[in-house]
Amino acid sequence: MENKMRKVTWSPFAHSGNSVNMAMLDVIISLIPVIIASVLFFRMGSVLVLLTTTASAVAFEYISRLVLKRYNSCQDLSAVVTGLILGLTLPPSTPLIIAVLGSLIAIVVVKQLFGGIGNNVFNPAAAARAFLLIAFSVPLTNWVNPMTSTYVDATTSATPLSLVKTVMMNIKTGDMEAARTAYSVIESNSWGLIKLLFTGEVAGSLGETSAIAIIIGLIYLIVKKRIHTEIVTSYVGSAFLVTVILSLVYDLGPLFPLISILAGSLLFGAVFMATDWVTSPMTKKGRIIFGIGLGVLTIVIRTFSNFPEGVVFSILIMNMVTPLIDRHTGNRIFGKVKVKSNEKK
Amino acid sequence: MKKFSFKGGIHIHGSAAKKALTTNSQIIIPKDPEYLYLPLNQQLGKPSVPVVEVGDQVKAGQLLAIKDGGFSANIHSPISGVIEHIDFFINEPTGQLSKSIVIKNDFSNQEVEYISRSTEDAMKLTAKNIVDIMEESGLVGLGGATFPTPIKYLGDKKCSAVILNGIECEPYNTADYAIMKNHCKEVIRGLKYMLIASGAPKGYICIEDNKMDVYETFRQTLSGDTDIQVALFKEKYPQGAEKQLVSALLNQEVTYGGLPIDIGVIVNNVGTAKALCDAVELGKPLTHHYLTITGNVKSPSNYYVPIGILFKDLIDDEDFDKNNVLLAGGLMMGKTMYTEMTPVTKGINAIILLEDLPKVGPELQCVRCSSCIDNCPAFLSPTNLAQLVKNNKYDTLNEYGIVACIECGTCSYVCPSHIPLLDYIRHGKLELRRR
Repeated sequence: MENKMRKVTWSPFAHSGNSVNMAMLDVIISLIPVIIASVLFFRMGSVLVLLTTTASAVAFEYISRLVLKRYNSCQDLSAVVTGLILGLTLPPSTPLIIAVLGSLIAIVVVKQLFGGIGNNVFNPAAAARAFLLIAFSVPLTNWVNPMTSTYVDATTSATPLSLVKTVMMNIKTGDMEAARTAYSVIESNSWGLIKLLFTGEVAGSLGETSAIAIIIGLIYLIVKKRIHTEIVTSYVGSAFLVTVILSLVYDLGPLFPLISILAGSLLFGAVFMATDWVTSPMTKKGRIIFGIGLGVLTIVIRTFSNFPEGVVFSILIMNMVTPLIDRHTGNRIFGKVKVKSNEKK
Repeated sequence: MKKFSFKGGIHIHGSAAKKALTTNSQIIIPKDPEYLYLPLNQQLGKPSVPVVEVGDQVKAGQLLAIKDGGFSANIHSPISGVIEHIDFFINEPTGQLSKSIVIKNDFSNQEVEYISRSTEDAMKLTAKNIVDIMEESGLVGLGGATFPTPIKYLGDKKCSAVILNGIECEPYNTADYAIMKNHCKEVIRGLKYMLIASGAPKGYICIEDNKMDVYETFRQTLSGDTDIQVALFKEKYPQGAEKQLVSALLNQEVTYGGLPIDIGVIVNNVGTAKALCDAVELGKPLTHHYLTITGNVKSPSNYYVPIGILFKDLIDDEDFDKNNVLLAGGLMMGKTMYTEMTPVTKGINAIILLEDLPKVGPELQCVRCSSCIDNCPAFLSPTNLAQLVKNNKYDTLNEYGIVACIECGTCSYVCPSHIPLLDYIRHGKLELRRR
């Protein structure tokens, strides 16, 4: 007994048991309502796209780690999350080869070539989605109505977002008459539209249609403390405020801001893409700035660009400035009086 | 009822169950061992200088080593016996080998004559008298830092409050709880002597809300006393860290790199107050103190032990054999001992035996989840500090406020990538000190 050597190490001698793959598992669980909604509305289209992106994302993760001679990181489940989120941003009619290409861009180019999870500058799914949208804009804007749809628009077979976009486009060109006419299409049945946006029975990308499913996922993530809620609130809040201002200025009626928030992938992007740990700022202050930037940019892109949706682009732009935000939003250190930056030693 | 709390911090998983092992135990007084080993540098600061020779006969309470300058403390003999060595190297609970005085017990229980005072007489002592008593009795902070107590009271800075720290936020430790439960009045009188010594008008006793019974006892004992307030705190780790305690209680932060006295407060542990009360009223120097022996042992309990007793003499061989990890201090901030031939020093308030270290996966890349930043009680960015240390950018560590780190281990505890953040930060601190 005298000679028994004991284990020696440094404190603390306890760990919370928290781990990256538990966090990723929680994200996957939170995506389940969204997946169920998409399968309900789009049936085989959804199943095929999601399976393709997820399976190919995991395969690319495995192969790229092998080629790059790093340890196998598939067990941390981050590739599954990326694959699922990428799949959920695609339309149900996406050709599967394009979905595979999306996974390739997301996992190999955006994630692994930058050094794997933790080192990527851009959100892999957002970057891949943006690439696909630019490269294959026709198949990626080919929307189909949900199988269960009862909502058939009289004049267009478009997504709710494209209705919003028409309004926005006319605001941009300064044709206020046309903007109001376009809005009257929405206004004629605005409550019915809002109801459909909540349940998700509208045309759109797989995961973005049902607000209720996204909110259930959000609640799960909040309960599990896996999400920085300030990003979601500041993103959605600032986007809402900007559209309120727009609708006040152009007299578009009170429900327009609500419809713009619910239409398109804003909610999905705010909950599942903007809150990505790796590519968002690390302090509360920074995250609020990040969220406000996202909200403003999203509406600006929606209004003034030729793209129907601004979510992925705004996420990519804010990802890019995240290091800058981090640099200037460090917490005040305990006991330190705030000094102006030019007074620093 | 207002509960104070600080920003940041964590709830340690299973903390209540770990404390429950020893909360209701009797205080055990072990039988005196044959040998005591008293390390000479068991306080923060300089090692003490022996004033005895090998072969000297000493009585319990006799001065063995005198403090070397202001930043040091006297060491007294807890037992009567013969000095066998004065420079025997032994593993100290800080993990270093240190010179120690070895006393062979003669079991005659002779004591020096203590100068005792009645409480009324003691209350008439001046500040100078009490600080002298602190110095003579070798009083150091018993919360674990072993900061020589008199230094806190000697400065020129005006003191507005003395805060007694009875938080004890470490998951296993209950020694302070035992002191507060069994010696409520002594703790309060100790605080009163501290108030005299500091000239402060106001005293606080801080208790966490997992110790409601002692909170009620103190409240009842102190009802009608306007000078001393009992403050209730939310259970959170590391509430017991003195700077976080002061900021939670007074909403005032200790200046960066400074001491609580810089903002006019003195923080002492409840154990220190009890020891001061004994020193003032009974004339007894600091030779014994309370500690918790717990973890994976047969009968976890609180002990009242002589300083210098070996861990080996306190714990069954059987308990040692079945455990691989021996901790001196708490689960979150203690140190691992490679041998049980380690003496209890003034700063050790718990001995914890664990079967094994926690199973933590391999260190992965930081995923920037920011849990370390959100939970850091010093508002630091542990992951950035660790990254700087990894890249050998020691010069920028100060810019990122490494001095404010209290080494509570919150960052390492929460990290999902299992990065030993605190180890990197410690390494950075060491490297800065070395330069």
